[in-house]
Parts: sequence; structure tokens; C-alpha cells
Amino acid sequence: MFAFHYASLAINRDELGRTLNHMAARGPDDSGEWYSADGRVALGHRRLSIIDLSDKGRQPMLNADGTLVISFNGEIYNYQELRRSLQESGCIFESKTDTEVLLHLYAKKGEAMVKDLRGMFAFALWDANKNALMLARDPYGIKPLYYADDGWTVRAASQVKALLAGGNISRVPEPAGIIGFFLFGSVPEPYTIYQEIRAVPAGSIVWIDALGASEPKKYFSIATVFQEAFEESQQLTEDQIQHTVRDALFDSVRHHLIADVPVGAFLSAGIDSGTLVGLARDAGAEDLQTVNLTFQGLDYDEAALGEVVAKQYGTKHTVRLLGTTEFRSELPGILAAMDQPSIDGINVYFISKVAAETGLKVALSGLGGDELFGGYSTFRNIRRWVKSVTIPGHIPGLGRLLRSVTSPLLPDRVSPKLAGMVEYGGTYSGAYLLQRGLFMPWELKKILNADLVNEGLRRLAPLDHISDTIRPDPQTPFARVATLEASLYMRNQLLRDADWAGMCHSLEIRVPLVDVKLLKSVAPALVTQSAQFNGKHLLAQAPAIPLPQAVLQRAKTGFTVPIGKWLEEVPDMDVWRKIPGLVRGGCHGSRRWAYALYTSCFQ
Amino acid sequence: MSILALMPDSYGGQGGIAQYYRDLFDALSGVPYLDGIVSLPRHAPKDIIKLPKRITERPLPNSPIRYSAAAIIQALKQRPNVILCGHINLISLAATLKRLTGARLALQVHGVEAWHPGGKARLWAINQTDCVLAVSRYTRERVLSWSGLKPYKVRVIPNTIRMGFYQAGGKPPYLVNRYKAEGKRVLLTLGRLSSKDRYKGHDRIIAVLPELIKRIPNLLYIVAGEGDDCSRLEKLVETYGMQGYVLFTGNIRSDEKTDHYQLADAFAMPSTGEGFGIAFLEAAACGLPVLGGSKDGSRDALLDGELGVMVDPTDPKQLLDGLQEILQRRKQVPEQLKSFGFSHFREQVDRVFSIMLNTKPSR
Repeated sequence: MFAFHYASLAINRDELGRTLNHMAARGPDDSGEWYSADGRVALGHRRLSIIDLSDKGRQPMLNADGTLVISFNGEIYNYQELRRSLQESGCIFESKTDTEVLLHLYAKKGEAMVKDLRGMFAFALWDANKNALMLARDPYGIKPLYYADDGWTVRAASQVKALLAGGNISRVPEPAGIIGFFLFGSVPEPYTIYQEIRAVPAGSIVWIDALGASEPKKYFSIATVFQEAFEESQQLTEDQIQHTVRDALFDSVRHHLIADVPVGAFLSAGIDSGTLVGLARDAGAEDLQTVNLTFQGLDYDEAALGEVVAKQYGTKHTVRLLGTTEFRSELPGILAAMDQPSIDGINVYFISKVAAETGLKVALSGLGGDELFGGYSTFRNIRRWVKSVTIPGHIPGLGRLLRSVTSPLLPDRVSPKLAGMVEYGGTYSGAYLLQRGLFMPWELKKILNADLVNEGLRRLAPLDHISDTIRPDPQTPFARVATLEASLYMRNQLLRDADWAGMCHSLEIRVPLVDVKLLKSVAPALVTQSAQFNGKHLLAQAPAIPLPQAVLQRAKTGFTVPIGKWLEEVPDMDVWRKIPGLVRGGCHGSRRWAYALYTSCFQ
Repeated sequence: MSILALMPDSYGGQGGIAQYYRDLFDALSGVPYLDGIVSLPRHAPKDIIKLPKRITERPLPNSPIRYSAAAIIQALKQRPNVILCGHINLISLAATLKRLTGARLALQVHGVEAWHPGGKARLWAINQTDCVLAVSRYTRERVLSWSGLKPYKVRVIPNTIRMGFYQAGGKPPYLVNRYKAEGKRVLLTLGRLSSKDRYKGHDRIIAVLPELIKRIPNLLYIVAGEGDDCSRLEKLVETYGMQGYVLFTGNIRSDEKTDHYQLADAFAMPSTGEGFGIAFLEAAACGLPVLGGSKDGSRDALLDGELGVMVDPTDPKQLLDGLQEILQRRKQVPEQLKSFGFSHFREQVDRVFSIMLNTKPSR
């Protein structure tokens, strides 16, 4: 918290306490507070001890002369390399933590230090000489960071709900965040569902000085990496590509195992998690604890295949069966932990719960493999649609006309998205919205207030919001979709869910497939691939003992809970039954879930 | 830096908003990177007041069309770096001037007039601004909520108070005589009694007077100021049977304003529609304990309750207790008033304009 304005009162210590307490589960091992002499700056921290478990790792941490103070969340996987080079240039270290590396690195390089960091991070760093607070977030946005500037005081925290718990933040709703949630199923950053609270955008810095929070400064974009990779790309043989991918993956996994506590892994029947477990074993992780879930009421059961993989790599494997009863009893906990509404994340909530029950503090997740290696069908579909609809899509008014005529005629079992094919399908941003959209823009007024919808669409400008992520142009269809998926779906949905759903069980989820070094290493090999390319086999082949063939041949199912089925059986969240558009037979369960969640946020 | 200012009022105008512009111009006239300000007041000045150096005022025709035409000609001739728009009602014109000249656009917003959306033209225009100066956190929040502007574009620069003009002192005998206030505990509200400004809360105070006089029998409530809401309030006083306890003064001459504050024992304005409420600072500077509301810009003037008593103005119980409390407090100029000193104001103005011009602040 920083009371930056000359008229603002000093920080209220009780408020900081309330905010910190809300995040107790995120850091159960320790809690610390620091106040500037004039009481206008305060940093707080809740600690989940993973590196240097001693008291020397306590935060907020000060540098030797007390002019720099930091509160840091996350992991810096290259901190040992950075530490060595800082020591060579004369820095003296008090602890073995990555936190202290950040202080020295900032003293040396200023804000440019963020470019040297490999890992997931969100931190607030007070620079007394500048009289300013720096908020910084990792390039992919793995760790969340929110801030609220009321014009006098800036408050920042890892969670929206923690800021609200402080008690001094306005709850005026943000139409862009709410409409974004209904369009995408997660709240698109930088918006939250509250006007006053914003996310520090991924790969950005926000400075707060005597005028308050300034415009976020971007220091990283995935689009730029692909664009640069395209310029450097060479024709590689299949073997060369495999070699590059293997080395980069191994390097990333090795770095993601750095910890002073045991690191475990989620292990499903999918390629991504299996590859990570195989590579972790190559990197020397023995007796790895792995966990998986299986769901009552699903036709397919992937748990058995997961066990085959576990056996192959010799892990200690735990599988838990989950059903409606446990869902219902955990529902209050899920709603409390869910920081912003999200239609996904329940799967991660439960698997994290299982992991935490086995005693794990850290688990690897295969999140990000589909975005980087073209695993989703979006890679194929978007390219195909853009190609075939470009011409009719450019005829003014045609798409809109077709949509308004066909939309009311579509039978229940046909996706309502079909009506928007010509209007939206002709551009990458439009086609992406069709592919990933939960509701379509023209459907929103059937479930929400028309003023809210109009204002939300005006502010969010969904198509611009989407196309901003592929600027500069990543050059190829494959790279465009990879960039869209990583900058939107993965960032706003998967990574956010992994954060709240893991941390509420005091479990740190690490994502070796979401790593800038990995991206930069494999991008030159992937960028020129055709849109038909699916690179998941490159993953499967990467461990010294490749994944079993059965894993490769399995049809992609995703790792989702049967929320639609459960919702019909759980009366606690049946507010969706009041909305005609959500009751009809063909309505997707996640649409009902979205509406129920939204209502619970503003009750 | 050359500024073209579209102002609702002249440098010498009356009232809180005009005072803000006087302070703003005074602050700007002191920054070294200022070449000059040409101000086009919407209403011609009543009195000729000496302007600070480098500031020129050009009174223009009253008709909106002729005013706009003259402003366009001035903008094309002057080629300013910054267009400073002094009122939300002028923002469409100011945004047009920005488009014509490529200048930066700053808008100052005060109170209730900027709290509501005002049609598509206004929405377009406010989204052309490079910076909005809001007088309070509340006004900032309201502007953000209808405009959807990026939050970092809207900065808070509160009213300032220059000590000296307002100061503590004994009750002036001539006013004690005029209002027969000998031996009375005087509660004061000073402000316009406009039927549009009913939010100021005179009626809420009148409604709790019957209870308040049970606690403070020698109470005299002075309603200072004039306006078209006066007769309604007088009727309200009759309805509550409070004729002997309430006194309407009509317009207060500016040279008697401080004396009126000094006559009072406490100042209250349980408003729901203040952009800021400069009267709280004036009263506090005269040593009066003050009471205001928690639902609007008053919160800022009251420093969240540190500078005065802050109540929910719509809650009669809280209001009653609060009024009793300020009437029983000792008069004293609060230390916290320094927060609104002119030097802070000037530095903040300097910071905002230097950021807009990408230069370093002068201090």
C-alpha cells in the first residue's frame, strides 16, 4: 500500500492486516509487515517457504541500507546463475533466497532487471530514493498481481478478494470485466469485475509515484518473440527439431525442479504431464509423488492410462475418485477461493487438494503444452475459417444480416455460434472469439441488462482486445494462434485458475511449458510450421524413455469436470433456471455455471 | 508551454469553482516552462482583477456559437501546447480544438455536473483527453465509471486553502448584534440555497433540530447564502416549529465571509452532492469544528474524518450525534489543514503538466 497523494492519510495497519489475513492459505508458513518511517508506505507478505526455509528468507526483505524493500511472490528459476554473477561483481548476500537476488539485481539494473528473470513472479518493490513503488509481473502472467488506485492511495495484492477484504476499495462493477467474463469464460486482464481494481498486465511494470499509478509499461510480448523467430528461422530437419525441443524442454524442467522441498507433479493420461514426469526423472527427480483425479459419471476413464505412465517412470502415484457429493460439500470453499469468476478451475482445485493431502507444497503441471505445440483444434479451425470466410466476411453488412436472419432459426441442438460464422469467421480475432467464446456478443442481452452489455462491449471492444495480442504480427497462422491462445485463454483462464485453485491449498503449481527461455528456443523451429502441424509428438519423444504409444494414440479429452451434469444435481446454484435461454435443452453446462457464478459475485 | 484555457468563469469570478481556477492559474504562472496562458472565460468578469504574470484573459461573446467560433480562431492563431478545459460542458469544443491543433487536452472536473454521462458527443470528447484533473476521489470515481477512461489519465488535485484570508478570531460584535446571537451556540451552514443544490443538506439539519435543541437549548442555526430554495426551507422550519432557532441571512458579502465563520461555533454541511466542499476548509481555517457527509467529495475535504466529523448524511441518528459533538468541541485550527496548503497544490499541478508535456517537474 502506498498513500502517494499529499492529502492521503498514513496507511491503516488494520487494513493491511485484513488483506494479508485473506491470503493466509497462500502463505501459511510466515507473515510479515514493513512500514516506512512516515507510515505512508507499507508492504506485507505471507510466506510459503520453498527456497531457503530459514528466517533469512523472511519478507518483506530490505537491502543493506534499507532504501529498497520488496514483497515477492513466485519463483525465479535462474536465481542461482544470477546470484553467482552478482557475487562476482561484488554483491554480498545474506541469504540463499531468490528474493535477495531481486534486490541486488534491481540496485544494479533498475527496472530493466525484469528482463533477466526466468520464472513466475509478481512483486512490489519500494525504492526510497525514487520515492516510488514498482509493481512487476512475469512475462506470461503466471502469477497474478492486482492494484487499485483510488486517487490518493494505491493498494496492490495477489488477489482481488484480498484487496476487497481490506475494506476501503470501491465495489462499483466494471462492465468490461463482466462482459469479458461472459464472452470468454474468464475475466480478461487488465480488467477485473470491479472498476477500481486492475491487473498489472502480464510482462509489464507499473510505477506508482506522487501522482499515483502510471500507465503500464510492457517489457515482453509473445507476438514479438514469434516475429523475431520468424526472421531467424531456418529449415530444420525433423531430427533437428526434435533435438532442439528435447534440449529446451529438459532445460526448462530441470530449472523448474529447483526447491528446498519435494516437488511433485500432476499426472493424467495426457502427453504434457507425462512428458514432464519423464523429463523430471531424466533430471534426477526420484520417487516423484504424482497425483490424478477421476470423475464419477464420465463415459471415459483416463486414470488407468495415467497409472501406466506412472509405472513406466516409477512414481508414487495417487488417484482420487470424485463425485457430486464431494463437489457439493466443497462448493462453498470453491466459491470463496475463486478470486474472479471463472468457468473452469474446479479440476485444478480438486487435484491440488489431493496433492496437498499427500504433503506436497510444489507440483508440476503440463499446462501450456497445447498452446505452444499446437495441440488444440483451434490451430486447424481458425486457419480454415479465416481462409474460407475472408471474402464474404468483407462484404459490408452481409455477416450481420446473415446472423440476424439465421440466429432465431437455429434449432436448440446446433451451436448458436454458427449464425456468426460470416460476420466473425473472416479474421483471426473474430474466428478466435467464435472458437473460444462462451457466449456470443449478440446473445448477451438475453441474459444481462442491455445497458451493461452495451457499455461493456464499448469498453472492452472484444475484437480489438483480441487482435491487440497479435500485434506485431507473429507472421504465420501457426504462430498467430499460438500467440492468441497463450495471451488470452491460457493467461486469463488456465493460469488464473491454476493460481487460485492451487494456492488455496497452499500448493505452488509450476508450469515448465510456460517459460520464456523455452519459447525462445523452440519458436524458430515452430513458427514456420503449417497450421496442420501438431507438435505434441515432439513432447512425447522428449524423455529418455518416451511416453507409451497408447498415450499418443488416445483421443484428446481435456481435463475437465462434468460441471453441466453436476449442476443439474446441485440445487445450491440453480439461479440459471430463471433465464429462459439457459434452461433450453441444448444449453452448455458451462453457460449455466457462468451465470450462477456471476450472480454469486454480486449477491 | 502555451496554454489555451476554456473557462466557465473569469479569474475574478465568485464561488468555489472560480476559486479553484484562480489557484490553478496562480500555480501555473509559477512554473518555469510556461510561456503564457490565454484564457477565454465563458462569462465576462464583473470586476477587473489584476491577473498573474503571463496570463491574459479575453472575454468573448456570450452566445455559444460566437464563443465557439472565436475559440477556434484563437486556437488556430495561438497553436497552444495544451488546451485546458475548465468545465465538462465545454469539453466537446475543447476536444474539437485538440483535433484542429494537435495540442494536449486537459480537463478539470469539479462536482455533480461531471458525475453523469451526457450523451455521445461528451463521451467522444472526454475520451480525447490526455489528462483529467478531478477535485476529489469521488468525482474521479464517478467520471471513470461513465467514461471508461484509463484510470491513469484521471488525477486528483483537491481544492487548496491559503491561510491568512481565513483565520480564527473572536465573535465579531457587529454580527452578534445583527443576529442577536449573544449567549447562543451558533451552528452555521454557508452555501448557495439553490433548488438544484438540495443535496447540501440544510433540510436534513432542520429535520433533526427539534431533537438537537433538547441537547443544546441555546442553539442558533444560521443558514447563510441566498438562492431559490430559501422559501422551501423557511416553510420546513415552520413545519418543525423551529422559527426561534433558525435564521436565514441571505447573501453574504465576501468581505463579511470570514466574520460569519468567526461568529459560528461549528459548521455543518451534511451534503450528498459535493465535488469537494471548499467551505469545510474555510470553516476549519477559522477554527470551527466541522461536520460533513461520507457519500461524496466531502470525504476528501474531511480527510476521511480526521479533519472533521464524517457521518452518513442520510442517517438522522448519526447526524444528530455528530452535530452535538461538533457543537461541544473546542474551536481550534486543525493541524491537518496543512495537507491542503498551496505549496502542495502547486507541486501537484507542476507534476501533472510536466508529465503531459514529457518534461521534468520544476521542483
